[in-house]
Amino acid sequence: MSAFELLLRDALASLLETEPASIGFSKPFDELGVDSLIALRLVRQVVELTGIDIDIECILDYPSIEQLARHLTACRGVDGIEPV
Amino acid sequence: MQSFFETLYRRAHDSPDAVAFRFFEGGQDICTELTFGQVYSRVLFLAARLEHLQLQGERILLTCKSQHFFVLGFLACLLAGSVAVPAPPPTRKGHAARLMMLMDAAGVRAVIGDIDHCNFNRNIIYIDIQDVVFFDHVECDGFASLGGDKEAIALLQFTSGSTSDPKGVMVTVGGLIHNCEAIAGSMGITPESSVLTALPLFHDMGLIGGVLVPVFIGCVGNFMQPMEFVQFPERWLQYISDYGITISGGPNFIYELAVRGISNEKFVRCDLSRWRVAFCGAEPIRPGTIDRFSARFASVGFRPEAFYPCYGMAESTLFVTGKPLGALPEVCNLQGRVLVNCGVARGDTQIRIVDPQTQLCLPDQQVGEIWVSSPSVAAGYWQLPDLSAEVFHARLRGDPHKYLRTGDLGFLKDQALYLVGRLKDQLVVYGKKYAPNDLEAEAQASHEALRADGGAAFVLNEEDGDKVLLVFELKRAWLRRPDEWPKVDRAVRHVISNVFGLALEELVLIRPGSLPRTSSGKVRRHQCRHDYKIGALERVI
Repeated sequence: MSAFELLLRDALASLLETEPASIGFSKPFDELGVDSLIALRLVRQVVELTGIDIDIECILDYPSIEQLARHLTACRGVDGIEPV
Repeated sequence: MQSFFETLYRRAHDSPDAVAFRFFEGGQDICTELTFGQVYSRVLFLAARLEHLQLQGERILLTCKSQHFFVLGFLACLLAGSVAVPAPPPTRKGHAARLMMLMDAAGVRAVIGDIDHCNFNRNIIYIDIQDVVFFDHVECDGFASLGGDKEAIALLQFTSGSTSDPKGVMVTVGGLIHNCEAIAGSMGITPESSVLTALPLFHDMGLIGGVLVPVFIGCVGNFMQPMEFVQFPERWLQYISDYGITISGGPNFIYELAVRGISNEKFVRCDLSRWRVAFCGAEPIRPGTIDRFSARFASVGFRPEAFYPCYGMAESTLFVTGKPLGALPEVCNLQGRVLVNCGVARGDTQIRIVDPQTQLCLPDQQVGEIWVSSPSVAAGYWQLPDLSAEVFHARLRGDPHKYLRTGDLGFLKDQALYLVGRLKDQLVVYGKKYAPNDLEAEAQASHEALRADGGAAFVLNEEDGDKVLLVFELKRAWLRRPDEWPKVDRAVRHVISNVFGLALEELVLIRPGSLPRTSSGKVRRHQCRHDYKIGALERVI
C-alpha cells in the first residue's frame, strides 16, 4: 500500500464516519456503504487532495481505494500534475 | 384567485430590470441573472413557439442539465397550456431507460432539452432550448393566455409509483395557484423575500417551492445545483449570507450534511440572521438534527425559530401543513419516540386522522392515516381512474368533502400534525421516494440465486441515518452453496448502487418460503421489517 492509498482511505473514512482500518483497499465501494452522496463528497476530497479534476463517473469507474489510486496516479503521470 | 402569471406580467411592466432569477452554476463567481423583463419575454417567446407547434394540451417532457433552461422551459409550458412532465437530466444509460418509460406512460409529444444529441422517437418533437434565440425586447402589451382554465392539468409528477407501475400525479393550474398562496401565506413570503433552492427542480419541493412560488409572488428566485450543494455545502450558507436569502430549506438530510460536512473555518464569515424560514420536510424530521443545526450555526446568526418543520406531498401539489411563523419548533413524546410538530392546516385545508380499516375518524392523539381535503389536492393519477377514485376521492360518513388518502400515519394533538410513519411501502431516502419493488426487481435480476418475487426492501430510520435493507429468499438449490453467497451479496450491492445510487446496509438471505406474506401471496414488507428488528427472520446459515 502506498502513502497515496492511505490518504484516500483516510478521506473516505472521514466521510463514512468510520475507522480507516475498517476500509479494505480493494473492497468495492458499494460494500463499504458508499452511496451517491458519499461518492460526490469523495470527488471533492480527491480534487482538493490531488488537484486532479475528476467527476463522479470516475468514482463509479474505479470503485475501490486501490483502483482509484492507480487511476489517479496514472492521470498524474500523464499530465505531470503535482499533488496539492 | 389571481391567474398564475399576473404578477410576472406586472413586474415585467413596472420593474423590468429588477432581478427575477439568479442561477449559481458552478461556483460563486459564476452567476447568471435574469431580470423580470427578460424572463417575461423569453417565456412568452418560447410559449409562442410551443403554440405554433400545436402543443397546447399536449405533454412535454422537460429534461435539462441547466437549471436556467429547465425553469424557462417549464414556465413556457405553463403559459402555452401544455402539460409539463418534469424529468431528471439524462445521465448514464440506466436513466435513459427511465426517461423512455416516463415518455410512454405520459404519452409525451415533445421534449424540451439542452443536450446536443438525442435518441428520441422520430414522432417526438425535440426542442433544443440551446438553439432558441431569445429576443429580450418583446413589448409587454397584452398577455393572451393569462387566465387559463383552473381545472386544466399543469403538470404530471411521476415521483410516486415504480418503473413497472408509474403513477403521474395530475397537478392542476388551480391547485398550483392555491398551493403557492398557501405556502406564501404560511411562510410569510412577499415580493421583498428572496428564495434559494438547492434541490432538484424536477421534484415537488424544488419545483413548487423553488420555482413556482417566487414567480407567483414576484420575489427573487435563486438556484443552486444539488450536486454543488452536496460537494460544497458551505456554499449554500455562503449564498444565503451574501445574497440576503430569507427562505431556503429541504429534507432533513441537507441540515445534517451541513452540520457534518462544513468545517469551522468555512462558515465564520457568514451572516445567517436574515434567514427567516429554514423549512424542512419530505422525509422524517429528526429532533436531533434541529438541535445540532441550530447549535452549530447560532454563532453566525441562525435563529432557532427559523427552523420550519412542514408536511406535504406531490399528491397535494406540495404543501399541506407548516409550523406557525416565529415559533420555536416543537416536539412531543409518543411511546418513547420523539416526534416533531409539523404545524396546523390553514384556511380551507382540512386534516382528518382515519382508521385505515374501518374508515372512521379517530380522536386527538390516536394514530391513523392522514387524510387531506384541500383545493391543492391534485386531480388524480394520470390514466388510472380506479386508483384515483380510491386515493383522491375518499369519503367520510356525514362529510361532504373529498379526501386524499396520504398513505402516511400520524396523529393530531391540539390541531397540530405529527408524523409517525408510512402506511404504504414506499422507501424515502434523502427526501426522495423509491418503490420497493423496483429495488427488489433489480436485485432479483442481478443473481440467479434469488427466488422470484421473494424479496422485500424497506428502510430503517435510525438515529445515525436511514438504512436501506433488502431481505431475499434464496432458491432451495443454493442453500447448499454457502461459499457462493458472498458473490450474491456483491452482485446485489453493485446493482443497488449502480441503478439507484443507494448503499445497501445489509442483504439478508432467508430460507425459501419464509418471507412474510398475506394469504393471497403479497409480500408483507412492514411485517418483514418488524421481524428483522426483532431478529425473527429465518436467515440462511
